[in-house]
Amino acid sequence: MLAAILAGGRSSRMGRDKASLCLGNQTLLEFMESKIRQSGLDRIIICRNDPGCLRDLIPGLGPIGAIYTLRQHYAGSGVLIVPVDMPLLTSHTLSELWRAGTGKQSAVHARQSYLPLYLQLDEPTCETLDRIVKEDHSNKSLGFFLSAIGAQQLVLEDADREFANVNTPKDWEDIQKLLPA
Amino acid sequence: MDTILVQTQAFNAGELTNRLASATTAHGALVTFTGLVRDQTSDPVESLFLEHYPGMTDSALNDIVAQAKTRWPLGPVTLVHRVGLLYPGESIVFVGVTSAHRAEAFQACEFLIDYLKVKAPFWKKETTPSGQRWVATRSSDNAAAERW
Repeated sequence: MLAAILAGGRSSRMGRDKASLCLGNQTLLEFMESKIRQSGLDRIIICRNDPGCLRDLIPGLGPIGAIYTLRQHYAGSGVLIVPVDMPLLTSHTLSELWRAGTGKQSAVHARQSYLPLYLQLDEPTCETLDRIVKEDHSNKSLGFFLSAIGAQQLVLEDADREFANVNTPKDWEDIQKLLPA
Repeated sequence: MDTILVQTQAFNAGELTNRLASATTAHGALVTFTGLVRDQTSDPVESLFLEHYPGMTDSALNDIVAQAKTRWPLGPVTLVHRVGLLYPGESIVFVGVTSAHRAEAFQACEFLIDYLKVKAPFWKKETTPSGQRWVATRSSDNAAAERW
């Protein structure tokens, strides 16, 4: 059961690396790793430009670049892709997405957000991804890719707050207040 | 009652305005905005193809209207966005807002179009004499949305 954490963003609005933000005695990256393990996913890949991590084959493409790199290594697998900057996500939501994705054998994300995303790296998905990445003039946004592969949207009632992400120091301050001590 | 639509067919801004006006007698201000496909002599565009993400688009538009209603005391709102093939001069988007007073209606209308430009999953592909190109979100659009 494979998960990937997207932890390679530029964190430009935050002003510092989001993955390294401190939460008690853990970094945000460690916090998200343990949350993913709690959801039952036991193989975790970190997508990030650091030693021991999965580095983007083509830098500068954002989430699509990380997904394209995952595709090169894990074609044929199902993977739950989780952003490092959503600490309010519950392990219940992550396992619901995994269950829905493996059940439908299709890409699945919540109606509230494109990420986290269950992605089945099957042949049609990989072909679409290759086309989007390699064609100079194609639209390289994650939403466009998900629309092109016909991703399904899971309706998760009363879960809006979980999808709040940390983009700015103010977001981080607000989100920390909502995390259990 | 709000009207939120994503459609391929053309709309008539006058009809939408009249319908919105007749949906309320409790609000004294009605402000509308209509976005058109633009051609520029310096950068000609033959046509535009708008794609969207079904399901997510409806959800995003509903969210944007809900956010506007938490900021201003609004009456009925109409938001119509076209997708598919469009030519210069055609209408792409219509935003109509009602409120008790004009200040709120003007602000909410501007907020709705600013947010829609950056938060809703629409993608524009322009056909120009030199080929096709995807239109990226402009930094001015991001700046316009961020000021709210």
